[in-house]
Amino acid sequence: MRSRFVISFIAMIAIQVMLGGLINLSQYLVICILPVMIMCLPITFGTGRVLLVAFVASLVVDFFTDGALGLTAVALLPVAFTRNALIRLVFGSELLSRREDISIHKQGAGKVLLAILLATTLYFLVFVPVDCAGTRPLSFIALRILLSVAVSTALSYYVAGVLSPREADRWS
Amino acid sequence: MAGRKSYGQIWSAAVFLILEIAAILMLTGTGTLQDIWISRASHRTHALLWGTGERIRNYFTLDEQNRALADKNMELMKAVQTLGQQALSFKNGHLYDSATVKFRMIPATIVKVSRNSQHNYIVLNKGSEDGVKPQTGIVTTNGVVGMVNTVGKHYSYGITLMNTRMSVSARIGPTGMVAPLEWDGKSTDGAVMRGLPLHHEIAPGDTVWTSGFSSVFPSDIPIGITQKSKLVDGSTVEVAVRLFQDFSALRYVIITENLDRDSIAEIEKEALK
Repeated sequence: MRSRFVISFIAMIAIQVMLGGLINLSQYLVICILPVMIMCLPITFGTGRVLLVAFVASLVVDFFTDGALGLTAVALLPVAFTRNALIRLVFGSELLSRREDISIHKQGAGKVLLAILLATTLYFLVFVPVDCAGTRPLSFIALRILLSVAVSTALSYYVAGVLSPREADRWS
Repeated sequence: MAGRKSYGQIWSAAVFLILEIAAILMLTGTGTLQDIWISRASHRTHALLWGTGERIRNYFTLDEQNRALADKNMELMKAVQTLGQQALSFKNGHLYDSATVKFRMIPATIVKVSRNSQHNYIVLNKGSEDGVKPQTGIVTTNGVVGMVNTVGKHYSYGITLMNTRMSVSARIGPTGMVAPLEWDGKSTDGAVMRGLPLHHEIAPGDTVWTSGFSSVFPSDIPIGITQKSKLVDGSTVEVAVRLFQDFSALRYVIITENLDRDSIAEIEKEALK
């Protein structure tokens, strides 16, 4: 279970590097699956550990893509920091007490999609304004956030399917 | 258990802050646009913080500044009085004599003032030990405030213009008609001038000044502006005056004492014999 998750996680980072570095669909669209990857990290991981994983993953992505080093980390760290709060908000505190990982099969598609939407929105609310750095109008920023959240959330749902456990397995 | 949880939360927040700061530092080092943007935001925040600090500091020194301004106002008023006398002497073909400046001025702070009755009063923080005498005027640069009635050692009590028992000799325009000015009994910045002759045309917007005929108030202190006028009993005109000095915003005043008042009273007594 553990090795399967680690391999999937590394594969997803590679996919994110390709999405960021090789595929440039539009200036209005940024695709990012890192928020869902952070949300799908085992519940047993404490916030500090989640923050470290988010930081390292962000730096790897930034290093292999054209983005400025630190840009992804600036946006992803708030997602990592608020992960437990988001989980409590969407799934309730039972999930954290039972130390149960996020799973589409157990928690349902609706709740998982909502959690992904919130995490992705938080990510792009920081990422897009910092990426634009005051050089773009508000309308551009708003449209870019909307499009990026919509596309990234849809793609992230499939990523959650890959990363989340199919049975009630625990990270051990 | 709760302490352990809060310790964990503090630890997480600290890790988050450290990593976020590290990411921002990396970003400013590699992204030129982001570097400029973040520097600008940082400068703006600094300016805001310093500006707010400065505003708070200024707020706490306002009282001191107001006192200084009140003193400065008094000095300016004295200067205006002197220049007025000089101009008058020059106009009359005489050389200016400093002895013609007849008013002594004492700055004071209001300790208490009433505004809600028909007989309003004022208490000032200067008394006989500061040289205040009864029957002296209370003014500001915005007009007449009242008159000192009773003087204690450190405080003095007076009636304000917002008192139905008080009237001030006032003049419309620099050389116009003179009539008593009284409070209208309603507002904190309204007065009326009664008994003006019919033949004198009064235009709304004319400035009303102290006439200087009362030996209590110096002449030519602007008091207010004329408003609507109306005919009273078919024989006289009554004109409304909007005062420059709003009595709801009073704090610092100047007590004026006519140094020739005793001589004037003496000569009046002689004449009545």
